[in-house]
Amino acid sequence: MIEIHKSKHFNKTTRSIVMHFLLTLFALFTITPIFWMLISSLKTPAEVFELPPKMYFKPTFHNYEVLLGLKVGEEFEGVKESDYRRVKSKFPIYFLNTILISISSSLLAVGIGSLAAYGLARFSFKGRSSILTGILLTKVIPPIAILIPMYTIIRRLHLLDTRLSLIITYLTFNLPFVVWTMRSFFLELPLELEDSALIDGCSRLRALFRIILPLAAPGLVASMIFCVVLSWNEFLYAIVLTGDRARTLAPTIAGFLTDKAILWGRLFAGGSIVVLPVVLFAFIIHKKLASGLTFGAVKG
Amino acid sequence: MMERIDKINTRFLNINYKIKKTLGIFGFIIPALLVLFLIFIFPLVNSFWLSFHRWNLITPPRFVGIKNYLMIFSDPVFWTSMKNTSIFSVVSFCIEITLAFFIAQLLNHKEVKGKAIWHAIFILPMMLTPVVLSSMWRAYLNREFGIANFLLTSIHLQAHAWTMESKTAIWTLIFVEVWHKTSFFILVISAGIVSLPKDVFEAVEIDGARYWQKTRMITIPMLTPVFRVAGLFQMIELIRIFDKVYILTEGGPGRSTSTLSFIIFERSFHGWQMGWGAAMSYLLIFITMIVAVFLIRGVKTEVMR
Repeated sequence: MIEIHKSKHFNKTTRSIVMHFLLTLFALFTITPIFWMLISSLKTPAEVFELPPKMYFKPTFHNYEVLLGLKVGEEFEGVKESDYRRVKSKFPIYFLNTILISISSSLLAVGIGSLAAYGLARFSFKGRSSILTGILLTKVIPPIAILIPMYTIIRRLHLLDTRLSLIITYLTFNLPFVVWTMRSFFLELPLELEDSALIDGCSRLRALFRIILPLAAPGLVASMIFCVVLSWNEFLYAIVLTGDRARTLAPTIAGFLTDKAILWGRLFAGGSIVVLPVVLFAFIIHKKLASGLTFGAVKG
Repeated sequence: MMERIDKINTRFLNINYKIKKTLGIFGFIIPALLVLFLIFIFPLVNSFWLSFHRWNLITPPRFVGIKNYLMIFSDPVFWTSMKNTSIFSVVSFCIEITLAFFIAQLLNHKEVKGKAIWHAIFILPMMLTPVVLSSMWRAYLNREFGIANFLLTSIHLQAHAWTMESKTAIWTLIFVEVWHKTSFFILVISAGIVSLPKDVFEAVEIDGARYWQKTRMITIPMLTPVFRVAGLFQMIELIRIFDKVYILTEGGPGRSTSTLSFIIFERSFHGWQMGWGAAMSYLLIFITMIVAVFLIRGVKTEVMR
């Protein structure tokens, strides 16, 4: 009897060890590449290429300084000081572009989208379900299919390489997203709240602003963050619709992989800067991530 | 007489009320519908028209009928891309969903400690900017300076120019995709497992069910809706794969990793064959639609009440 008990206990510990071992293995697989990028971004351009990799090195912010325009990149060494302005990194401008574009597009989407979501959650009328299906169908259309006509239209409007072009184009994924997620959010709020306000003579719009929106604030913030992350990461539209002026960060990073040389130090530093805010944001809304990514189909 | 007036009055009020109500409803919805029309319907109609024309953006568009569509089907590059996209999507999908289910099961086992930390680590890749993580992997997988080859040769394995050999390129893409998106399935499946009713498990545990029996008989069947919805969302993403191809392999070497989205991009914005691109994107929409029919059915049953 004691023997059996013992072996069972032993089994349990081995099982636990094996499970934790497997999890650790997968965690290393997941996290080492990211960690490596962060570490390598602190190496000098020469050290980045060294193999075997140097484990002990003096961390330097050289790559970050070059990116932020405080120093001139190593490929421009020997350039006359008067030419510094020309070769100075445009990363800070593109960073600002990305912030402006993501936030504007997300604000627009949340503003227009949550109104529609409220309407679609609270009123029943003919064609409601087809509107909802239609909005879900937009998810099916690949970005490249929208991009071709969008490019010709934006070109005709002389809006190529403007922030506005991206703000509008990013609505193609932000708006349907907000409508769907906010609708399921509104559906979960009790009807009685507005009903009592409406009976007291409140108008629909006032009921919405006074009663529903404060309750929906967490949902609105989460949707907003979600949209910002989606816009921040977007690459295809950005690389086609923008050039030197309205460029965002994703194509800028891709630009470090040039034909002549790969600027690895800068790639790693730039990558770390781009990724950091997104990861922070994602962790803020990590509880809503599962339902957000599936338009509310999976409850997180 | 009074009665009649009353009747008319209420009728009038009713109509008035109805108009007000409709206006109210549409006041909420119209702005969004208008924007959606401008950014979806209008461009799509535009590109439908475009798909019957030949246009290089310089000379005026020329009507060519269905020639663009015919050209696609007789184009070997299209068929290669079709093959690549299929291999990429199906293989990545299978690996991701299996691996994620396994990890999610481990993660939610009652003996595992520190669930929140594991969870945070495992969903990390999904949050990264695709361009950044692809560039990162391209650096690691570089022929001469990449850390991957250094590690492989140090355990006496063959070094490869992973992204530049036609044999390895597509598998490299799949590897990066799996590294990136397994996290999505872990997140979603894990959320599904957590929300499973505990009493069912307790009941079968009393009956002496083993772990794998529980998994096969309860967990998997009860998670089917989650698998379906998450799987279809991911499948749509896989079919339209672009970023990773652009960054890691640029469709090469030769045509060994060019995918549908990638050739549309290349032909439209490097070759300026806008009509061909438009026709091809309709084809891509059609292909995605086949998958989407199932997706919408799945999502509707889950979300719409």
